[in-house]
Amino acid sequence: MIKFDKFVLKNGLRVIVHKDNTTPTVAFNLLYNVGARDENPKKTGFAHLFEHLMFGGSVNIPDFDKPIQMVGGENNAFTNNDITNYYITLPKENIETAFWIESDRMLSLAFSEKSLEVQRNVVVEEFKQRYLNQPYGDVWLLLHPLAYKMHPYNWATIGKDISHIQNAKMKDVKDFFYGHYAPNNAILTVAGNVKTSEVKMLAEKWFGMIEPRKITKRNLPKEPVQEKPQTKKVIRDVPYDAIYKLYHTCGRMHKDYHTTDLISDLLANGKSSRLYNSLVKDKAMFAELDGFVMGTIDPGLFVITGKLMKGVSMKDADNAILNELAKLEKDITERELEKVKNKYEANIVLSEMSVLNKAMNLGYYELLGDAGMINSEIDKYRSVTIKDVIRLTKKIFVKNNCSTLFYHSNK
Amino acid sequence: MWFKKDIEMKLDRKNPPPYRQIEKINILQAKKEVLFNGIPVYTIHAGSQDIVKIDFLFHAGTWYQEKPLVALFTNMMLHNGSKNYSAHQIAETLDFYGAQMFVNADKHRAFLSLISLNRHLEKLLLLVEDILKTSLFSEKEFDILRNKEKQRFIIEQSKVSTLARTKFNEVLFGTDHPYGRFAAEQDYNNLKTEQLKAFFQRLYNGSNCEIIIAGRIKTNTLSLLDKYFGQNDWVKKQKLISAKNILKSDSEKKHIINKDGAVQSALRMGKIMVNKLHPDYLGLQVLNTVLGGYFGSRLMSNIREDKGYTYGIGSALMSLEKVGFFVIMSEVKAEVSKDTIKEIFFEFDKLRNELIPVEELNLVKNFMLGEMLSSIDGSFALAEAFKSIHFFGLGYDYFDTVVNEIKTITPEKLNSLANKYLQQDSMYQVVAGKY
Repeated sequence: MIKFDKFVLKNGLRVIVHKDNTTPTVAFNLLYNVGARDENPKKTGFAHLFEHLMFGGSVNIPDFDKPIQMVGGENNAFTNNDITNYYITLPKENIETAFWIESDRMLSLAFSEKSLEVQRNVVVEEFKQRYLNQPYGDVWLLLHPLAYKMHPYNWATIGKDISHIQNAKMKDVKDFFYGHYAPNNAILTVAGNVKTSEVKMLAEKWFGMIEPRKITKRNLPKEPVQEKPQTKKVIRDVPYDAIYKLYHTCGRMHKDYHTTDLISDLLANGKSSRLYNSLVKDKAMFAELDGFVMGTIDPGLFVITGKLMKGVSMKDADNAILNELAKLEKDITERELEKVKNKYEANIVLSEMSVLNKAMNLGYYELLGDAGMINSEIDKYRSVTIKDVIRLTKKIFVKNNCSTLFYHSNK
Repeated sequence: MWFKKDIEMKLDRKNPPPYRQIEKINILQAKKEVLFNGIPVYTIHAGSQDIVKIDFLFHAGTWYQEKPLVALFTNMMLHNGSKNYSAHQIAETLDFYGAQMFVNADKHRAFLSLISLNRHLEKLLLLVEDILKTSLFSEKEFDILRNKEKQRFIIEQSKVSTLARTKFNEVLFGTDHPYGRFAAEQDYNNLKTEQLKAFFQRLYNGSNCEIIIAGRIKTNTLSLLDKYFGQNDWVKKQKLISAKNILKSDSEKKHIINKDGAVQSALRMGKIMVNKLHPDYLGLQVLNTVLGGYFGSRLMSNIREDKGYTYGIGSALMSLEKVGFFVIMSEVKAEVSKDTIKEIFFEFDKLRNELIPVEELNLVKNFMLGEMLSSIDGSFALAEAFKSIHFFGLGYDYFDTVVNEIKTITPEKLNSLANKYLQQDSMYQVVAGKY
């Protein structure tokens, strides 16, 4: 059970405090409710580029990293399709430094031309390092548009095309900042050996006078129901063939989410899972085979990825996966379901050893609607029944709901 | 008006709030216990989650193997079947109780680590006992694993970062030394289960084992360990024999591996340096941090933040048990490989010719102390901290030495270290991609 306090500043900033007196460090996590799904389809990759720019100096403080390092802290950030999340860990004695520096960049950025130019280059190199210069690196650039035709999950966080980043202008940067970065669009979580009263005082002091802003209204197109199977074939300079299968599923807040997540565990989480046992071990058709749900806020994807063993044909590999998916509803057992629930529960205990994990999770659940979900999710997983699994398996794993990418080796 | 001008005016946003430098690092020390048969058990009792991590350590790393891959595969095969549990039953048992088992073999040691909720610990120790005493190395399981790993290896070989890393270690240590020897595709084909069985018989036993437990340790945990691992029949009288290991660096300093179509080049630069038993080691760690050991380092500021050549560049001083080495790592825009090397040497020159400004040095000192604080946060981290001294035969007073050295080192001392160790012509350079 994770206890926490919550309060809201007058400007709309939500603040969550979790006391953990077993650690000398404090985690300071600031989540902004903006991600790649909020981008203009002609200016993709912007939420992530913007995350880089957030380190290029703010209105009163020329350098973000140095003052944090000076007090013995560390900081970083990540962007995904739904959110942008900034975090700092530092010795608890120096917690005010985090309030000072994070509040200043919420107040306003420095908007320096030099910083924009350099970060454009850095992000282009990140694009190359992660997506172009790795075997199978471009897969996610292909999968997003294969599965999504209308919804902005159509592109990966890094962006559709390198040119969108190269062409980013200062005006775009400013518009993005004032449209999305604001106290009324953020959630601050502080976890560690801290008192709520102390956090409240510091939050009022540093964030209290930042004006609420007019947040760009989110009005995302709905992804229409997929009506026929989709396939795409590419040939790349990689040593082995690979196959990727995507099925549309519900979003993170849907009542079917927990069952869907457990189905992915039954099929593909770890060495005792079905796909691994049957296709990696017994039939030795795949060198790697993985499956997971994307966990996105809007309706998401069930993803299966596999690298084929040399000599196995794409068609056989595809059929073997389909065959395993079809078997699940026929022979799932209570013990098997119990197993994936136990595993989920143990992983939660493990993740709660880290104060930063707890801070991130509290903030994310608050965004989903209630930080208290951090304690109640386990009951939802526990209450999933075999009937639920069978019903959803039948619903998700149908031909017309599937997109397949055949990623051929040129060798 | 909403905006509270009066408060805003009083608030000094330009200057940082007051802060405190970390005075002292308090480390919860491991306590040594001994099982009935003499196996040492180091316990770190901490944390609020009802969970423990148990590491079983064996001197069974690549240092002791005669043929490539033997140490690694012996270790990996621990997942793949013992007398009373098939590979599938091992996986099934672990997952059913929500436990995790990791295996790993590095240069000197091989590990089996178990993370378990306390309430299921006994059932899992029963499993681990069977694995550590009776693993089978079946041909069928071995074949599947070998083919899988071979494919993974071939995929790895198509990455410039892998090519550069492998080459760098080869030229530094030579291919007759475990630090510089890597497997080739052919080695996967030549590997035999007999070699693994023999390695297992020779090295995975009680006389070659140490145990570390971290987490919320229950009163009966030690007696459970005694029950499953404390018996005399698991101990053999034996002498630990290492393979013939000869360190011989390459005479050529510069190595280029061309890869068609690469849009980035992977770069590795560095040399053999000291490990943590040497008096210069801690000073060099500070020097390394200034150069490339944190996000605000000189290399990051110059090559990423100023030039935009790369997504990241860093350097490290690695302490291995026999010797240490220094390495700079980056993946850079293909057309600027040469310029990047030039800029790296420029930073060396600066460290050799100019004193590090006090303000910058203070920042690095505070950063390093903070990093130390987070590296001992939580029971699992404390276990890693213990390993970092134990493997080198050091005691906990080493951490006091570290804190003291970080706090007191001067720009002059760092400048003399730079002149002793960062000579341009002593550096190996490896570029994979385009040059």
